[in-house]
Amino acid sequence: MSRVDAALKASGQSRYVADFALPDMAHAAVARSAMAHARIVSIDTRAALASPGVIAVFTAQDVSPIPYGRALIDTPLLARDKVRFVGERVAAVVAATRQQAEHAAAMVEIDYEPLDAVFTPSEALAPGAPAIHEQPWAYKGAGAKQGDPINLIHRATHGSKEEVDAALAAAAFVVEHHYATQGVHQGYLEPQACIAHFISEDEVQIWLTTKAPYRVREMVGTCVEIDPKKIELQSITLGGDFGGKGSPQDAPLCTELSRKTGRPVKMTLRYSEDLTATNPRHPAEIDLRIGADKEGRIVAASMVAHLNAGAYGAFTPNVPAPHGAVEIPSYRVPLLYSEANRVYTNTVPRGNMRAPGAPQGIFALESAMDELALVIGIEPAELRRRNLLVTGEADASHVHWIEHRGLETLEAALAAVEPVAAPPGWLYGRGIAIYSRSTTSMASTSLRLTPYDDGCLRVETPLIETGTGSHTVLRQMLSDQLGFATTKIEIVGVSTNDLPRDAGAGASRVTAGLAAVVDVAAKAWMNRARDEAIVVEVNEDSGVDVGSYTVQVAQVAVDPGTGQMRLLELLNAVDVAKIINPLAFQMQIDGGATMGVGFATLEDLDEADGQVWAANMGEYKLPSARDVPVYKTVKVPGAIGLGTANVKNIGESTTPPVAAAIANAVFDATRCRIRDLPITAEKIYQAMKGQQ
Amino acid sequence: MNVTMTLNGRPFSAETPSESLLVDVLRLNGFTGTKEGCGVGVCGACTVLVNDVPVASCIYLAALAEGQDVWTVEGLTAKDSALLDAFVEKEGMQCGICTPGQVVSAYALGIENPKANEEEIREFMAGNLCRCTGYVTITESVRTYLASK
Repeated sequence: MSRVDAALKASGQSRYVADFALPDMAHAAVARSAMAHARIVSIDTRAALASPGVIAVFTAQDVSPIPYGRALIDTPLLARDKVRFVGERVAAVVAATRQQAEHAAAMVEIDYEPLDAVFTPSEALAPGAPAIHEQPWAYKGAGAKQGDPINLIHRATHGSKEEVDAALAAAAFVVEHHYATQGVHQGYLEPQACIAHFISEDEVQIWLTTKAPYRVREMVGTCVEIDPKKIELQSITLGGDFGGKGSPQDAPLCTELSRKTGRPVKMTLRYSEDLTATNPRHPAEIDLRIGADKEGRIVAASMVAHLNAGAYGAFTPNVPAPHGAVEIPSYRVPLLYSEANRVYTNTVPRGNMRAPGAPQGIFALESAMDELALVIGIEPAELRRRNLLVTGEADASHVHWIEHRGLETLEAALAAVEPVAAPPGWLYGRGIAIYSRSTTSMASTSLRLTPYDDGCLRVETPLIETGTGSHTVLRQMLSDQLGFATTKIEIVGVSTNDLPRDAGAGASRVTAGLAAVVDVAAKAWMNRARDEAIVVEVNEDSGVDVGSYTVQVAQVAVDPGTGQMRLLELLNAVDVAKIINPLAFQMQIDGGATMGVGFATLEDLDEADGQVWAANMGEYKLPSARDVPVYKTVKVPGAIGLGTANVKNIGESTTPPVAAAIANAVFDATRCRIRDLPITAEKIYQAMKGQQ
Repeated sequence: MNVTMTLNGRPFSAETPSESLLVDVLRLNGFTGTKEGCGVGVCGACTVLVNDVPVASCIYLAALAEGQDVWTVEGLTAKDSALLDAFVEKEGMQCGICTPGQVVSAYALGIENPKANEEEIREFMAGNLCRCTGYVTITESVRTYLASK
């Protein structure tokens, strides 16, 4: 039995936000800032207003002055007084057709007075740097305080720097390096799109490319001052997310435009807008020091990250816990100092992308582990063997996971890897990298089960199908627990008005959350009054997190003449509990690894001077079917999963280690260490040339 | 401007601005199976067949389709059930936004090189990007479809 939506998707019948049209619907497009940092002197909308088909043109004073965001509420609907990045929304045009709206938006004339701009965390934190936000501490949800460096959004530190410094000074072996990662985009292929229909102050309907409708409902309501309960987010199939569609996107703006024009308003981004003006992954600068004793056991580590957060901080939650970019989740580190700085710059605002922070941090950490092994004089695998956590030990953040299966997973990977021949004359290398990720036990969702007369079951869920196969997994779990054949179960996505709650897809917790609600549903189903529909919900944290290890082995070939690198094979050894849907699980492994391959070798927003130069998909290169290696998977079964369903996370496990596995393999082949991503032929060639 | 073509085997004509792109004419007339992704002819989500040749309809003027034989995912999957069956059976999709383009390209490969091997499949399909799957199940789907021919 295939996916619930396979035939609809393959025949072009599945409908996405961009495919919907409402009666009397108007279209919106925005005029965006051409400047990275400037005062807005004047905006002349006359030509735009006179352009064919235009209904109205709006600037900041016409729309709600309340900013929006997830935890940090700092983003205006339209730039007010000044612009903070190239691509920021300055004016919005509503017209009869999309083309007319776009045409008119290009005719909005904006006069600027340029201001000094800063593009990197080090520029932004330098003394005397221009203030991007005059009073960043005054925003609701601000993590910074008055007196902090002016462009600091949030600094989270853990552990004692002094103790770590002393331990490193006394360590037998220490490595200290700087690693850098580039800006990359989630690369979903469906541009962000929204339709807002403001019917009255008591009724607003929204169709949005979102994975988190309940969260968006709250954020839109707060921004436009409408009771969130009066806002209905429709359930629409999502054309890819990967973290990029958890924010309100243009829903608050479209709601305002619909309110002001009295018509449903649709806005579909052009992909260049997605690349330049949404919420891609933070570029990171990471300074890492690790020390080990004579036996190669880690004694202390210091990990300091500066994350380029762009012009607004609204699209990530402000978490006080160690940021993904400075986590050391797999190893025994007696003393850890970590520091994660998120810094405003005059660049595109950043948000979450698959395993937020971890692809950057794990690239640094797992590269440094190999560098440490080299100075100690032991094999990289042996260093990891000596330092991987075992069950019963707390991790560096003092968290106890239910078990640690890093050693088993490492040995399984090493046992399974078979050398692949490099082309004649090319250098061959092999590299490993490890990542472990915990799954929160938090479950928050709901379901309605309605029996049909013909023996079928209608199941309504507020969970958005982002493409992972979650609706298929839900059907399968219900089939197992209730005894209905999967062919007798119909899964229907419903709106925020129809069911009480859903936390949204993310944090690798969808399957575990579904399992929890299916458990409750199964009990309620047995006890129900005959032929009655039942509604069930969960909103609980069972308190025990489980972790899942991934060990990757990359095999590469490098052409010594040009530096060209070919990824011959990527092996993923994953630590698994029960697998509900083996093919969907496998696609998370392969798809996640492919995203890692893109991050490691191809993708780069190519940012300079506040511009995203890779502003179209011809420049921003996603891996194609030709660019991916042979994938090999080793599953290490027998782990303890969450709840009675006994499931673990997989969606964010295989992306983070890829870049380090490849960097380590390239070093193995060439003795050249690449510490900044992406790993390109040019960099390898220059490094090899520098060595001679 | 009026544009007239054969669409999915039937006569089709539409009134549209002369600068219209084929993707917009199709989508505004209810053929929303054809998706617009990158808008610059790179990702392949908007792939349709014009006289048996796959084209990126997001950079193809509707006027160029005048008098031509155009097929979209809706028409091809209705005409050739093995095409739909292969993608369903092998689950050659996740989010589904690239899938119509993958399906159209698979059909085009069936015309051009039905005996394509793994490498030739990947080469031919390289113009259809997918962010979800890692391409394993899509390549399987294409192979299964070609084997049915």
